[in-house]
Amino acid sequence: MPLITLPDGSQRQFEQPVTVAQVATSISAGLAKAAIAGKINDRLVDTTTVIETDVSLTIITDRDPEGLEIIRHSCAHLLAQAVKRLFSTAQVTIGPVIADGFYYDFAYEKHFTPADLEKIQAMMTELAAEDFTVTRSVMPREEAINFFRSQGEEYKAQIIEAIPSPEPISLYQQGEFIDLCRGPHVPSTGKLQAFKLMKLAGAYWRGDSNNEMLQRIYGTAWAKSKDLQLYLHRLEEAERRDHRKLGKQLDLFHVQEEAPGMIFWHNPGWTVYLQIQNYIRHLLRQQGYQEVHTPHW
Amino acid sequence: MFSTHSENRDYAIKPMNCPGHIQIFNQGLKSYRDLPLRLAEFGSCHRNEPSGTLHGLLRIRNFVQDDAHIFCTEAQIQSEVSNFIDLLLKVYADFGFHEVLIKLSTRPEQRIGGDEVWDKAEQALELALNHKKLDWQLQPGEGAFYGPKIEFALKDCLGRIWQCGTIQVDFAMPGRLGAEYVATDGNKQVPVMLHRAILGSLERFIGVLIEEYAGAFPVWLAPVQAVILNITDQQAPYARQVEAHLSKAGFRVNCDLRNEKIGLKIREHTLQKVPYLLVVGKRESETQQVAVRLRNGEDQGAMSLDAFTAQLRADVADYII
Repeated sequence: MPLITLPDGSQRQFEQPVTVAQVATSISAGLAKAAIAGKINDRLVDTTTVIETDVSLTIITDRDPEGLEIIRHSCAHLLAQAVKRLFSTAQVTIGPVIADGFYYDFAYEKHFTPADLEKIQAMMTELAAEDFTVTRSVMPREEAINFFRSQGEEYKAQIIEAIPSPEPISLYQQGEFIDLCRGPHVPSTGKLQAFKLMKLAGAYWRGDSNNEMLQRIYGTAWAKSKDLQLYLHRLEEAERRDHRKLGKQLDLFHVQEEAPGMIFWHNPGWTVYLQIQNYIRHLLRQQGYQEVHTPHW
Repeated sequence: MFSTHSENRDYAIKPMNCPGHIQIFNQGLKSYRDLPLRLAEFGSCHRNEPSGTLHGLLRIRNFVQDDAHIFCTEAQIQSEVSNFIDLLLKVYADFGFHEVLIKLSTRPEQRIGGDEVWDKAEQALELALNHKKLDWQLQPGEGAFYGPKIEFALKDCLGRIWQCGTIQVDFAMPGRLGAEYVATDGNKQVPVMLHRAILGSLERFIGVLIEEYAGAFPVWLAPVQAVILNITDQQAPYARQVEAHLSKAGFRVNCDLRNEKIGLKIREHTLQKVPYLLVVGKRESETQQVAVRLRNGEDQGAMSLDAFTAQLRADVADYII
């Protein structure tokens, strides 16, 4: 019967196999509510994962970096579910986690518009509020390929075909939406509270410019809405400080299409440049460097 | 890399300065007494970055590195690295960056040079860091094939990380390009070369600075350090006199003598983020004073021109010599 070692070194003995969620409940109701996933011997798993042997276990909450990562990944699924609800002929492809958020690439005959983003965002909020349970299942490879093909999800079928054969295919379901995924994911969509769709972009299928162009939707996601607000504020501040904008406003420099990646320094900007150069030059002289100048080619 | 062609010969436009510095080192016989030899250049480099990745000053094709190469013996690596780190941290602090992230990258799988040489070089870098009690992160296997390196990244006010400085040991290039010196025993030896830069690219660093300061450069860097604003035409001669005085003292100053309301002039130059706005009216011109306002709106009141000159001097004293 499993003997479970917790991060503080304490151990708990269970009479029969238990899930990560049950272990969390046995510790405290608060932890059970906060649990997003588990980490068994350094492997991240769902809260529904059953533990049958002696392991060390960490309950992952939204305070852990891994928890935030899982929230972002689950948000990508939520985005895909929302898009499928609103645009049933859109096909889902991939949806990974990136810095500060996530994206999902869709194949769709029409172009998504900023107004569509708002609709999708509203649908995501609705789906999160429905608090669908997220369940994992395993399907044989061939069956999974046929399943996605029958759903009109050609890209997903191709992704599975590219997975080396012996691997079992794991699927995650929330409500009517089923996606191929390694996981883990949040226990239910209600855990997703602080997300915002940010922008649209184009992306090639499998990153290859010979392939068809897909539509990428970027989003940001956080554990708490306070964190989301802070992030949006940081973005706003970065926008306010954008050196290209200030470069124009303060007459420091410009770039133009005829000389891509080359700087036209205006007098105010060049003054700053020379100040810095002379400051460094002076220090180098003090440090026993000899300044030289060599040809450009 | 960009290339060009002239009189039946192909030329490359330099993407780096190191080979050029070795050509200078190779002129004339060098002995151990010449080492360490430190050659510095504000070196203009061209790299053909994909057009889609170009971004303002942050990613460009023609940039100037605050580049230098130190030719030294193996035994000199540690002290050279140590001196370099002191210099780099002083420079970053002078620009207002006090949080510096340091990474040490050690030998990769594919490399030149024996294990003994790598052991010594890696140890030299590590000791240089440890003697200063600096926090650093190890990146095993991330060094270049020709030697280990330390990278320095700074954290800006929005928490963004900018990798700028580096010092890199090179066991390969000096030998490949024929650099040698006469050692104490009279035999010829190949020197070690240290590539180092503090700012990285001047353009990119200025891009980072613009964002860090939100355009409000500190007095020592500001394109215009003070602007003199007259209230009526009658003070125009005095305003010019103040300008001449400060300009002669070595400061970057302008007059705005337009026949506009003083409030408008103050607003415009505040938006241009000029550190000091010097208002001169009837009283100031009669008493040889200036009324000093800062770009943040703070009013420092009237002071004598000499007192203001002394204040400007104090502002820049730590940076300019």
